[in-house]
Amino acid sequence: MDHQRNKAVLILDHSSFFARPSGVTFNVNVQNSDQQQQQQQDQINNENTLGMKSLWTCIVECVLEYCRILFDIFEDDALITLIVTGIDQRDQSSCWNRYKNLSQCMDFFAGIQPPNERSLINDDDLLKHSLNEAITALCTRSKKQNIPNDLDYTNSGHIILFSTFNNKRIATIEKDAQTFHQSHNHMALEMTDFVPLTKCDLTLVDVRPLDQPIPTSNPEFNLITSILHRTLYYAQAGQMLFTRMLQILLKQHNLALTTVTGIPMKEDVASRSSLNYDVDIVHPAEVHHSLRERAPLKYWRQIKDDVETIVLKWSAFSYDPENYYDTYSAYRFSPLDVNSRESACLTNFLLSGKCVLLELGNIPNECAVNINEYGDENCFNTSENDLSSLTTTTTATNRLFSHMIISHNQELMIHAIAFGSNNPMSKIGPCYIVNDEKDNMSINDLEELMDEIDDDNLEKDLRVESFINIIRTTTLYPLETMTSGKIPIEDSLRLLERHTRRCPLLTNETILFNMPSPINLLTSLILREKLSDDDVSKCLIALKYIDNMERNGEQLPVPNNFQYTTKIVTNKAKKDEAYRFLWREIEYFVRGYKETSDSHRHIYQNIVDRRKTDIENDSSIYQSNKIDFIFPTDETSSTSTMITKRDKNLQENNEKMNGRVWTEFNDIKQVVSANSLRDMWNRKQQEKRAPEFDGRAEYPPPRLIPLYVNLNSKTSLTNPIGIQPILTTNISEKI
Amino acid sequence: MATTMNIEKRSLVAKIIESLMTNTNSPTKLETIALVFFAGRDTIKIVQHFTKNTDDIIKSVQKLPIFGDFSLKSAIDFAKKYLTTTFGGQRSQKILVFTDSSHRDDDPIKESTYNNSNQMDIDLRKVITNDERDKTSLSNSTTDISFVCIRKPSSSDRARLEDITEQTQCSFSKIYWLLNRDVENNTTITNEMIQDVITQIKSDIMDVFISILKCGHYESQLAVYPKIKPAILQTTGELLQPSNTLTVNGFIELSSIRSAMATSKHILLPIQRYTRPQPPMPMFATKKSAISSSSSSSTTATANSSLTTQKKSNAANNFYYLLLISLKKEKSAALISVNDQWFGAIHCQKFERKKKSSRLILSVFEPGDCIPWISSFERLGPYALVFPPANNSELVYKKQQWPVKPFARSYTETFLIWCRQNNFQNDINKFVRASAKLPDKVNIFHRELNKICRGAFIYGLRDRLFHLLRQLFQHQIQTNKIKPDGIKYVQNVIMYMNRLSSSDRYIKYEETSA
Repeated sequence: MDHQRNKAVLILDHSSFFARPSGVTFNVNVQNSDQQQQQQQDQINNENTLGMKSLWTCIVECVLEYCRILFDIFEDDALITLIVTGIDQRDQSSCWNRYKNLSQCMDFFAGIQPPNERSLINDDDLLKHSLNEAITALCTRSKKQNIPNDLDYTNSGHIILFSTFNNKRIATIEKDAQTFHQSHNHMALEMTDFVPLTKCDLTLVDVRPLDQPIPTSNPEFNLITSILHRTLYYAQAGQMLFTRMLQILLKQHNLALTTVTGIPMKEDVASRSSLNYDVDIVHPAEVHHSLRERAPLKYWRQIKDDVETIVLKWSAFSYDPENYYDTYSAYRFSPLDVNSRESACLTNFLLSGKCVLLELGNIPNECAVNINEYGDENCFNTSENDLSSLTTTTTATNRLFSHMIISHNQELMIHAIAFGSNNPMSKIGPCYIVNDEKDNMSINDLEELMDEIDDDNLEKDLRVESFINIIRTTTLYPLETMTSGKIPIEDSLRLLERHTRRCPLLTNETILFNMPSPINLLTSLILREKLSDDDVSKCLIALKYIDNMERNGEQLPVPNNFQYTTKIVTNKAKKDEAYRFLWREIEYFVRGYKETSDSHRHIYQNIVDRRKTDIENDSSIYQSNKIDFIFPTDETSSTSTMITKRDKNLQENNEKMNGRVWTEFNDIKQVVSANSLRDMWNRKQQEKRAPEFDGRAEYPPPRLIPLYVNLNSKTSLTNPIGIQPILTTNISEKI
Repeated sequence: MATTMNIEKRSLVAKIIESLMTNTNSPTKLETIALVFFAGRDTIKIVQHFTKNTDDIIKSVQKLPIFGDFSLKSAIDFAKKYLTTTFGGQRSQKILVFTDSSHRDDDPIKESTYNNSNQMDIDLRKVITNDERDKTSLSNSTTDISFVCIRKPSSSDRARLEDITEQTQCSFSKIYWLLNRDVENNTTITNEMIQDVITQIKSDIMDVFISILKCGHYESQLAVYPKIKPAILQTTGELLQPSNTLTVNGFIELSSIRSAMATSKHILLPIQRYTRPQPPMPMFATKKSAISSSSSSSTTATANSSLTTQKKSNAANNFYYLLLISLKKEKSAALISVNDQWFGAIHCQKFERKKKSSRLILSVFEPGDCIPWISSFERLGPYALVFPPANNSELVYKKQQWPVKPFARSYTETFLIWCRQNNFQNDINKFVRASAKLPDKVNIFHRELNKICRGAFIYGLRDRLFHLLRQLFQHQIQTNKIKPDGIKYVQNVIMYMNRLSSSDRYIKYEETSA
């Protein structure tokens, strides 16, 4: 998609010849279901409602259709310039930015008077001038070419000239084009504003009224120079002109047609039956590559109005866009007759979010590898087994989905599916087994291991609900505006980090995360980056609530398979252990976030002050969150290479071979807590500090150490309690 | 003479395949194998359809008959087509050809075969495809061919094989051989020789990639199959190696990612450690554990949910299953980074054989931002920050629409396209019908009017069309098609059209201009 698109310049002859009637009529007769009215109107029909289009009108219709399809498929990349002879467009520099969509092309034509019926003397000069303009435009840099680079030498373009021709005129045009082309390429060597034109197709379309016959329906080719090619088409106005335009369009921009056949559509609300329709769509020709690999396209090809189309069947298999199909390419497409009822029906269906699989209609034998022919040879003593698998394979090949049509954010796209008749993804064993032993395991052992793991069973043990919450929090959406220096997806990584920091995987390993309101507020509020005073008090209330529960001896929501370590099986002992575990969990959980802000630290301090639990090291209290990585050591799978591969990769990790992973933010705390100047200052101070004294290290921050510990016990009677705080010194402040 | 040689070679090949199959009974169970036999240009037969049962393959090999000449090229062509129809042609496949690459030295047509390259006197070939196929962006072809020869091929033979590969539009991967004819001249082939070759073939073909899936602090180790191949970042031409850590960057709903196209698909499997059942614990171990449990409450001992029994004792898989179930329930996909600027998506896919079981599938995208409807991966932000909850309240997730690129597409907006009589007629009909409803719905009438008049200017139809429309409306008024209250609107419009037909440019009709 990234390569430079061909430029296209369309020149419309505005001479008096095109003011002539084309023979194509239009009708303003109002169609009405009422029979009587119809008859009445038929009488007045011919005189009062029938109009004749001029040749000019026919060409404009055709040119706009050309533009429409290009803009639908290539959007901003479609490089189109419109030139009308005798109409001066001064602003040449911006010719590739001028027509950015169909609407702008229409505006251009709306500002042009229809050609005058009186002929001007200098029509030929005007045409020559337009040709010069066209070549200038092709040599002008488009947006993608704005910097001179190697792509300059792949600058190719098309000129389509709608006019009337005779041999002499063609010769003149060819000569002029050659001259202009050469002079421009010379200029391009000297001026960086210009790019040399390395390939140019000059397409002449000789447009005639319906009553004038055309000499041939085949195009005539002529090589003017190795770079400049001329093609001449003859066309009568109306349908023939339109077909020629389509042929030119498909050829120039490497597009192709697909007919979606058998689209079910209700005739009207009342009727239950639905009729089948066909809709033609235009898209890049690459879409058909996958078919070509199976068999020649002839099996699905049809010729419609002189244009080749590939017929694919609408399949009602599934319209669910939540399926993930194995597709390997996607291209925009546009309906050929966009305003027709059938097209509108199809596009509305797709724009509503559905997706449709397209199926190969009749699969030829050649495509289905004639398995019967090859496999069913009796002289080879085919076993029973072979035959049974044979039949299943042939039935499976009966349906082949080759493409999918879908809308992406209101853009219609056609995907090519990498489907075979067999979907191998679904036939793979459930896990990869590694064994440490030298000997091969028996088939029985293997079978046992290969037992399917039931999704429903898994769900019971895992904390799926909480993980779904994490998924929702970090579901990605495109951001329109971006704060400078911040990469949005890194915010997502940060969120994932914070949410999984102290979160158990299994339901039976936690009590804290099973707690009802208001305690569950704790687990959600702590995750926030900033806590309001209100939030802090809510957390503290939650803690106090647990205290009360413990005092009242209330039961905790202990999960079913909770692993008690106590050997005493009385309820009291179990309850005690459950509370002990809960406090440990709370401490462990909040400790993980205490560096986030002062409020977090405050809450953590509150927990520590309760002295419910020992402070432990930082290893996870949730066993299943700890991972012991397995390395394949079995002989059969070439152990040595595997491990060295991994080691190598690990090294590469450090050398930034890795994707954006958390190792890059070496210190998580640094990232997370870098939210206030004070934090940064504190960190800096801490770095400067000498190693902690052992005595102090025993106490939790802020390391208040009571002095004269024994003083109180001896002189408790004489010393009022109020004095004690004076004796405690906050050493850390002094350092 | 030739026949006896073929028998020998045939049994030798049978032996190699048998030995390969025996050891391929690897713990992965990932491969299916088909055996294609061919002899002569017209005799190609699928001996064994794709199967996982290695015994079937061995049996088939042992039954193989002997044949004479055949065409290697047509055989490869056939095998390729067989693969394409069975598995689709867009993901890479592997063909292993067992052949006696060399011609007898006294072969007079040696030179000519170099070009024609089709006549050979070995009679067996075999196809191994791994279910999972991967496509490398480095080579154009998706089918890799490796040759297993009995002798090391001479340089001309080698060139011939390469030539055949090229002709069949496959990519040449490797040649293995049992005997190195340059070094040794004896024809004894030992079991060790076979083993060596087998090991080589396996390490190349059955390459499972052990990787770590990372999501914040959650990690899981898994087997990525097949291996992710290096890819080229188109914008810079830089070759990117897949990292061995797949990092979850966030999640995208399946209905938003919409079957994004992938350069390769991989299955992710949890790794299970297999250990033989151990004899019961000796007494001292119990004592020890008793001590540790009494010391503090820190040891929760061996976790024992239904997940973590001996059979499934790997805690490293918990996250795999958690992700699997959650993605399945939430109908979402995880966006992962394979390397810098190289992304992929993991989604959960049902396993067809048993309905209740699923797998994680990784789709690797082309490096860079190559998916048109996801303009930039780096500019995707998490829901919590893109749609922050109001006034500090709890985050409530609600699916949001992705922004639509502002571009006027002909199928989403109504454009006046008049190149077909039908389209034109429809627009006129709408306009006239709106006039019959006047004075109701004046806005619609004026909208249609403006559309038609603009169209008349665009297509250079103004004189004739306005004339006809004026006549039409006068007729409508005469025949009482227009309600009396509506007549004044229509008369205004007729006057407007009169003015417009003499005007240079299109002027929008406004209520006030009447």
